[in-house]
Amino acid sequence: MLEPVIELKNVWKIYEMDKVKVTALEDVSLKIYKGDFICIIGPSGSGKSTLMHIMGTLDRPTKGKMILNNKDISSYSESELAQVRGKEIGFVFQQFNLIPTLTASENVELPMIFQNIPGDERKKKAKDLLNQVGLSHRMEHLPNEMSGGERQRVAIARALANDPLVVFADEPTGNLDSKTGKEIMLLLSHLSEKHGKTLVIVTHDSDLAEGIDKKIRIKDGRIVEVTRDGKTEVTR
Amino acid sequence: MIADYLKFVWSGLQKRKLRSWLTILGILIGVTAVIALISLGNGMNAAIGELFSGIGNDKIFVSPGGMFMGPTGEMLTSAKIDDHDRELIENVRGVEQVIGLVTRQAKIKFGEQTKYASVVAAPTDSDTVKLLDSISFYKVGEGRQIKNGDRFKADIGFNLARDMFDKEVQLSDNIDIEGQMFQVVGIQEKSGSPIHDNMVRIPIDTGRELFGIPDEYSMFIVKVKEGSDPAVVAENIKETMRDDRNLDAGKEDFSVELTANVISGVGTILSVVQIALIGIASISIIVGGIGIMNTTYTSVTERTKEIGILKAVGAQNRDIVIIFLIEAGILGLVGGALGVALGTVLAKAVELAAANLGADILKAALSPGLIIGSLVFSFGVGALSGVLPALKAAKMNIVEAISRV
Ligand SMILES: Nc1ncnc2c1ncn2[C@@H]1O[C@H](COP(=O)(O)OP(=O)(O)OP(=O)(O)O)[C@@H](O)[C@H]1O
Ligand SMILES: [Mg+2]
Repeated sequence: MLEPVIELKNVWKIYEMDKVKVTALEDVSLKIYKGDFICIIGPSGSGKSTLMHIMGTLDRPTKGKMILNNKDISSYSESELAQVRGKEIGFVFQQFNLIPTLTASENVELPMIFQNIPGDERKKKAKDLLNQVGLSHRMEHLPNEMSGGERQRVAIARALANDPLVVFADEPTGNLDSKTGKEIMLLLSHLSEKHGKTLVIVTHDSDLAEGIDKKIRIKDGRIVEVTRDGKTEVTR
Repeated sequence: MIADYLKFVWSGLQKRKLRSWLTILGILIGVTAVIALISLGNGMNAAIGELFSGIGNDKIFVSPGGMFMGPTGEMLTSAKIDDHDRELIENVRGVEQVIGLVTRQAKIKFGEQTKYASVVAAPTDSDTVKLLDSISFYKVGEGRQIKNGDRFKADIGFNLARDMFDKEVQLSDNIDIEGQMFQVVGIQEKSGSPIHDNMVRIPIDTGRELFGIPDEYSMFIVKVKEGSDPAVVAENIKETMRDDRNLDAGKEDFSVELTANVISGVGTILSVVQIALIGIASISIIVGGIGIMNTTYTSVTERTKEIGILKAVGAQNRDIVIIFLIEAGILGLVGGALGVALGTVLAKAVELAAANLGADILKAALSPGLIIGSLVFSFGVGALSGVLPALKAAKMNIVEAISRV
């Protein structure tokens, strides 16, 4: 039996604002295995990003357990979480989220800095990764000197910098035209497969989810359907 | 690690160039002032020490009033010292010689110009001349000193001869002191002391008539016998005069000072002035620190999203704190470095200007300690000002930060 890379056990996320309670996630339990390529789909406001933030250790559940690589990280301190996050998790965001004052290569180096990887090794790795995303000619460019597709490629290279267990991508094609979006999706899946990464993509676009082997559909903060290779495993 | 943070910080400061420059102004001005004041003050202290060491440690100065006002300064007191005191002091054990001087500010006219200068009326007997000669202030360069038998003769300070009047005063020229003509028989060597270089010396009897001072003295210069301890002799003089005047200890209406005390006394006055000025300059540095705090807060707010990104890629709170402390520290450090440079230039400029006015004892004394201290201090003020903004940055919620548009 395969060990899950990520396991959520009865996770709730409740936002409390001035007496109003918003339940963004309601009793979510799921397992993600090594090498999975998973798509989280659902309508806007259904809790996809919230789910990804919790799995990616950017946020803590209000209730429930989050297990990463067999470790219950619910009780980790801030700095322990930061270390785990930096080492084991890569992110690709809709807004690219590059540091505007740093070059492509410096942006890719950034996660490695916080893992205390020596400068020359970082530069080599950044060069190699930018090469793999087809940007060897953009190494010294600033984000605002690049197109959206190019920026997202830099972000993908950055997500892979520390050789993480899991890569999360929250609407990675949301700010791109459909052609560039398809290219980015291809690149993401190709690189994850090549490097043996677990890949979790969040989208509300069913078209993009076509052909992805595993889908988790959520609605109003609950998992309503899990499909694997076209077969529905869970429904509510 | 720190070098990598520096890159991040520097790229941000570069992007906000104008604001960064404006922010460092406060620190820059403060450090400029502090550097200039300290280096000039230290230089002045050193110069004064050197000047007074030319007097020799075997001298004691006795003057009326509770406070010593300087070798030719005016005494703000009704207490007097006269020939009776002179005889008293001459009989104190360990005293070799006592010279009484009368000094006044007087109107000096030369050609069409009238100026004010210190006039020292001094005895002209050979013993006095010999003693004054041994003091570095009274070395004659051209001509001769006033001597016995001179009446309306004067020897004058170097700067008074060269610079005070449009026309240089030459040997044998006549100058008008308080309406009386005097012939210049000597011009002193430059002593470096602005007071002595702008002074006129005339025979004491003539001076008494001129100023209408029949018996008082402005000060006594006491020479201590070889082998006697000047401090003990000074104490004995004090006691003798006190007994004579029926005064309690601590209530003296005259003062007895050793050369060393004069030096440290002047030094103390200078330090007090210096500390006051540095205090004012420090306010500018504090204001500069507040400016840095403000700018760093703004920077934290503006870089909220970037802080979120840094945390998302594995930065710990500690890293974020360090980054913003460095940012604030650099603002302080750059301000400090420019302040040191500007302060040095300013101090040198003051030194040159003072030299032009004849006060060439004023030398800016910049020590490596002062420079390094200023730089460390500026970085410290900056970093300290960055503490609160940096903590705010570190506490930021990642998801909220990263969701900023
Ligand atoms: N910080 C917050 N405070 C209060 N409510 C929040 C907060 N973040 C999210 N929510 C709410 O939680 C719910 C889930 O939000 P979430 O961003 O996870 O949705 P989503 O599926 O990613 O939507 P989209 O497709 O628009 O990105 C929404 O109702 C949202 O309004
Ligand atoms: Mg979302």
